[in-house]
Amino acid sequence: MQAYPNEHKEIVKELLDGKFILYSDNLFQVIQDNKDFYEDFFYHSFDYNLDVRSEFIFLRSKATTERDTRDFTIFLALLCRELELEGKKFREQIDFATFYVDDVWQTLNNSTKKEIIDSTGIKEWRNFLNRWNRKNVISLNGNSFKFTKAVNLFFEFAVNVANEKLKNQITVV
Amino acid sequence: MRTNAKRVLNFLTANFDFVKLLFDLCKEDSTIRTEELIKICNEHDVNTATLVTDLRILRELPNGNYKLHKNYSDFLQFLFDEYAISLPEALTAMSNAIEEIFTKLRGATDKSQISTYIVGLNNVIDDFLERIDRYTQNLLRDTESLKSSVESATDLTLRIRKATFWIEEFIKPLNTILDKSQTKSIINTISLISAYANQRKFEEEDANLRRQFSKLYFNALNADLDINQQIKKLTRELLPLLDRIKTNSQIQMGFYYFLDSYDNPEGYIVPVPNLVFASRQYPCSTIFEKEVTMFLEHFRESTKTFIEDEVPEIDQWLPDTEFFKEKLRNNLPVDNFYDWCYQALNEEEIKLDMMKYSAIANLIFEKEFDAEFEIENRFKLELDDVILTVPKVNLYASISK
Repeated sequence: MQAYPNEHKEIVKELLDGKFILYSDNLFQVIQDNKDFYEDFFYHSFDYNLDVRSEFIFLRSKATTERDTRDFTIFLALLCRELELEGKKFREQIDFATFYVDDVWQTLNNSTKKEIIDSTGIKEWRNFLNRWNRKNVISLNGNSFKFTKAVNLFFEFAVNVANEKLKNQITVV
Repeated sequence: MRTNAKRVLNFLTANFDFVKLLFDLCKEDSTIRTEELIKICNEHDVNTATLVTDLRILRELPNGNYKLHKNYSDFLQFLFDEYAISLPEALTAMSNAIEEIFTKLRGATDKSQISTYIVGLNNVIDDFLERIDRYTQNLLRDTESLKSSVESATDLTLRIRKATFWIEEFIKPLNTILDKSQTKSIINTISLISAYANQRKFEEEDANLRRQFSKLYFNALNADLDINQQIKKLTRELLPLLDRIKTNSQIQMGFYYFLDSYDNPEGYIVPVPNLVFASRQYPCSTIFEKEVTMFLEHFRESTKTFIEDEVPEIDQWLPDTEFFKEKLRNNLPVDNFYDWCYQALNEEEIKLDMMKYSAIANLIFEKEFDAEFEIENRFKLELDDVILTVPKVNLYASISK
């Protein structure tokens, strides 16, 4: 009979709940040690792809139609934009700074792109933060939060968009 | 004809603005078109022939244009601190030259030849180090200028292109030239030169050559340290810095385009990360059968059942008041009416409860009896269902009767 790791039930639950498992989590090493097994397990059981990175692990779904990821990308893009406009280095801030829930809400509302927020789930600010806290993309602690390494996935998305755009510009030229 | 140094320096001082203008116009490829040259010469009252023949600042090209002399170009770059960055190929050529001269030095037997090669080797090493230093400084300075904040996507595009170009075309090839792991890298050649010169400075019989080898040894030793420092600057500072500038600019640019078109398909040329969202699986419960049975029970048509009320076991016997009234009449006067009732009922051997007791005790209200209460004198009567505290009552036959 297949011998499952002791943490198997917990691993499956966390990942199916859409959580990112971070490097600091004990489960990270267990998954990494059984990478082939879990890739196979999630693919054949749920048609999900296990994505194992150096700093986090998560599941990808081919059939996702939800809007929450789009909303988070918008939120991050807006925040980075505002930080740059304030003369701060957005990357250092996202990587290391502690953000205050009310201050960030204020910043987003003072943005000239505020109307975007009104058309997304970001407007239910606390709920929005709680959801992404449960996913381990931010670490919410009372009235403040920090971004975890999982945020790099969204930076990677932005880099891909930029490269695609640059490629198109070159093609036009 | 030899150039008169004093005249050159005097000219450069007297016509400083003109020289700067000339340098700026020649910056791209060290050449200037004839009409441009004539124009600026006229404006600054300078004779073209002086520039070409006397001072040899410019030389005429076959196509009629003019080219800035290499020595002047280098000197003016130094003066204005504006160096044209050399292509890595130029550095490769210098690196090859060092190796070639070193091979010749090792094969040379003639003293004057040895001396010439040592001088040549020292010069080319110095030149190489100077170029590398200039190169790194330039890259660092330009990288700093890239760090400044940008607003538009066009600026970001330029910044990404510039950073990519520097990384791919300058830093990576330079790293290859300086890479220690390559057998033919400059750093290994310089180490060999240093070891060779060190050995020769002891073995050489000629004092002059000994001195020259000693100088070469120290020069090569310093070059080794210098190159290592430059490598550190390139690999530990410049490359990560440029990489970060490039990535950060890409992130900003990507987000810029995404925010710009998040509400139409164009914003999704690259799909957003397709994450899994919590979904509950509902397998059959192990107690589902019990739960279903319970649920269905609600809909089962039940047959009508009648339950007959049971006759309550209530002792409906009440004492015959007339009988006790007669008995009371016969016993008058009674000095403790309530006690009398109690005793009289107990004689009947019945279960004495409050109801039965009250039926007899109520005789006190009959008109034919007069009652005299001794309120302070109370006593207890224990019935089957209750304990009564009652006053002592003297009962007499009514006078009115």
